[in-house]
Amino acid sequence: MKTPMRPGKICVCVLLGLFIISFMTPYVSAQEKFRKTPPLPYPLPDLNFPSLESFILSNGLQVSVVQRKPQPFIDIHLIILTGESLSPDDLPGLASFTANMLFKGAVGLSASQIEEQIEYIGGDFSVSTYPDYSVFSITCLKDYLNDAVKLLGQILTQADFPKIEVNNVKRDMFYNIARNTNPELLGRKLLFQILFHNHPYQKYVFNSSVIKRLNRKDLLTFFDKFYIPNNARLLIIGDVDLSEVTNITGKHLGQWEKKNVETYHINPPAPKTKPKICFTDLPGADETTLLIGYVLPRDKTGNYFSYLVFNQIIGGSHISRLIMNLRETKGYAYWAFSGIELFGNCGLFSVKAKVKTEYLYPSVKEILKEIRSLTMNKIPNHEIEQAKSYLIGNFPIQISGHKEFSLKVSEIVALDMEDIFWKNYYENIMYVNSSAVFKAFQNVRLLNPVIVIVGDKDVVLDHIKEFEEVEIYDNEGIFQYKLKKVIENDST
Amino acid sequence: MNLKRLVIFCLMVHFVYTGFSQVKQTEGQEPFPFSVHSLKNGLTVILSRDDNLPLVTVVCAYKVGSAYEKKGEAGMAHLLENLMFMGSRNVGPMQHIRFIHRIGGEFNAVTSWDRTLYYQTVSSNQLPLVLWLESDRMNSLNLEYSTVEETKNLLIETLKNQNKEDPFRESMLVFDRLLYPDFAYNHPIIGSEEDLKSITVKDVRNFYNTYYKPNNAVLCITGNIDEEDTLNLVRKYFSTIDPSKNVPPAPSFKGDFTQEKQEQISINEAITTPGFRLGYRICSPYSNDFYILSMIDYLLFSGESSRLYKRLVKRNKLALSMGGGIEKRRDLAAFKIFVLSNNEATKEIAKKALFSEINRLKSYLIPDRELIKIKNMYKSDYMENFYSPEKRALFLTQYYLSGNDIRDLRGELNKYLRINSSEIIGIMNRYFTENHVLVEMRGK
Repeated sequence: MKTPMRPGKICVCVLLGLFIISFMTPYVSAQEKFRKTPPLPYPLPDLNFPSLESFILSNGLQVSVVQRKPQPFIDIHLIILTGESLSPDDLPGLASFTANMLFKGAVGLSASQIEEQIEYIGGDFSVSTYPDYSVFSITCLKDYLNDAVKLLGQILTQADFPKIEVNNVKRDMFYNIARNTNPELLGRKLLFQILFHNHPYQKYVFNSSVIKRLNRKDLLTFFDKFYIPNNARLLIIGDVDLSEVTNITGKHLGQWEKKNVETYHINPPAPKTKPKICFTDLPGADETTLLIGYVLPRDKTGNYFSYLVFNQIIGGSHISRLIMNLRETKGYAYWAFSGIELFGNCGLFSVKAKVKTEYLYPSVKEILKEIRSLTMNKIPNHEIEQAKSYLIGNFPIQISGHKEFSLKVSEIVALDMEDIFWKNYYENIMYVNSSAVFKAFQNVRLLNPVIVIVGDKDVVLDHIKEFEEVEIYDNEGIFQYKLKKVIENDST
Repeated sequence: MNLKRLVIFCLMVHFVYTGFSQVKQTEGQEPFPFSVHSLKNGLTVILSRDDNLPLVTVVCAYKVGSAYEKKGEAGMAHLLENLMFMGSRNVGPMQHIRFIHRIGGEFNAVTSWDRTLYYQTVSSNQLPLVLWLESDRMNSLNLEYSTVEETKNLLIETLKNQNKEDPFRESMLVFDRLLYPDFAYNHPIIGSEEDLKSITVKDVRNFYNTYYKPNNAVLCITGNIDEEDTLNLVRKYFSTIDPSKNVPPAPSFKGDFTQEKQEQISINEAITTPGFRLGYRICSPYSNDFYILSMIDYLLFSGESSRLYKRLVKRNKLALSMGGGIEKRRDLAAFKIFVLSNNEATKEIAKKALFSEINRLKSYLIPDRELIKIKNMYKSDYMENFYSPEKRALFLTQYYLSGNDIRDLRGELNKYLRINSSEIIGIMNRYFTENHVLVEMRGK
């Protein structure tokens, strides 16, 4: 008869078993259960932006401050609320020229001295001009905020645009345009030119022949008219407080003279009434670059987020429809992506692809088919959720550097998008569903695209004969001739 | 042994062998909070919290790179870096990338001479997914014949394209062979076509099984994290991965790093703008001189008001483009300069102007304002590393892998900022001597 084991013995056996299992665990080949499937995410964290506090100096300059602590840098952005669209019609490029000249000299300061002063404060400087505004960005170490704003004030109130620098800047602008053989940039120029034909935004792109007409006199006129405090915003981001910024900006920018500012209203461009296909020659190009664009209405309501989700599904990432179809399934393209840009009065949805030249025609057909399919039918929920997941995860990455963050804020301020971007970004994305995207594109029919093809004429011409009509441009954007499809008569 | 003592003994053994015990080694107070831990299998874990945005970056780095390759297997470390995306026991080929893409994350990998880094930034609620992915490929990478061959062929194509598209590549290889006269240090990270072709699946498996182990790795996690929860996740996914019983020691340099002057000409018909590469062998990155040399790097190259840019590009227009700075290869370092000119005549003048700027620094104190300027620029670039989860994670990982004691990070920046003008003169005379390496680059 077996006698029952005493509790002490059971305990010993269990512990010994535990000992053996513990010892063996790392060395057994069977894997733990949790390794077999991906883990679930934690609940979505909050995305909280620091508040944007603003005040207006007596000269009308609106100053906005975003406090970010602890941060050893200060990012300063001066936004002039006039961009390339207000350059004179015969002088596109004047806004860019003026912006590029601003830091090239002031009374008692040469361009080299200005560069040295910015580097002395541990800083750097950049300038960008868009259709609606120009932005001047200075980053400096926190301790040098006063020096940076003082320098900015000195430049704005005493800019002297030295003649030697006029020539240097014009030369740089000329060579940047003339030597540009990047097919994507050439294509983008032509796309803009055609999409915004006879609209002020067309001036956003200009060719090198314009540069020689740019001169110091026109620059001074443009500067006097638009570089005024009541046509500007100043944005300061970093470990600063409002009272410090109030004192410093009042001291160094309070003397910047206020003037009357004319208000200009730019209407959105008229919708295209028919599709247009354009080709520009890039001798020696290995493959063919394709750009397809549509103007979107400027939407200050929730439709913007529907556009974002739509864009994500069609071409926002490496797992979107275009790349899966054109590259992975059909092998027509090396890559294909899409994007949305916002301007003051409209938006732009565009597709960009590098395709194998022999598949040019079917590539265009597939892209248009994908766009049509997504706008005419309700998108399956799983694709909507996938796109939202991407957008929610990716947005904070895009602004994770202090410069990227501050540039995003400057765009938000310049384009007056605080309400849609600053508050509830995650929630706005979460609310998008299949019906919302469908509804958004019932109002915005993507029917008449502008299609731009960039490639080597000797190779591409054979493959564009499939299209009904193609307008041929040189790589300065000058129209050359039209190519029409030859319809062969059946003689039988 | 009485029962109570046996219970205590068994529980202790249990915790030791399942890795549920970590030693918190150190905690940095400056320049930002971080902590260092190690698992019982040898995996080092660095954590740093930054709640600015709901993001997290995970860097998983292995102490192995091209300097660890034997002759005949050049390119192995980089090949393995590519194979790490081709699937593991529970993650299909390329699925690692797809998982990260689906959640809007970003990823990258990089192989250098002595380390290989894999990193990804995702929304902080997706941290478990990244740890699951990283642990799976550390634990059980799939290395099948077809995948290895396919990846080798892709890399051979890339290598051929590099040779075809970059007319200056050959001069770079010549320059490196002269500057670092030891195969381990001077062969290109991408390897050679011949070696890549000859590498077998067995070679790759051996390399992976030797170096891709927790006790040869560091895991750095930064961003919007809860430290305790993150440590629990790390324990869950990594603590049961076997350590390597024997990780070979890091290779040491076998050549002579203080040779005589060497000059050579590299000709490539595709070169249309002649130029030259100039190199100086300098001290080890662990030397105190290195801090001063880093400031000299900024003095000569950083920004439009730097000495060489101002002299060669802006003022005298002798160089079409130029660049340079310190390059670290494990325990060695060199100062490299690259200049391209319009023609042979301007190239010669550029060379003379360059030597005259170097000589000027050997004799004259730099002005105080210029010294403050380069220190501010250095400080700015240094601190730039702290303010995104990705930059911070890479900075911490690189610092740890450089062989420094991570506790020294607290005072690191000050070592650069306290140098003076006299020290610059001393260092210029010590390292910028006649014994340079010069490679001229010419077309036909």
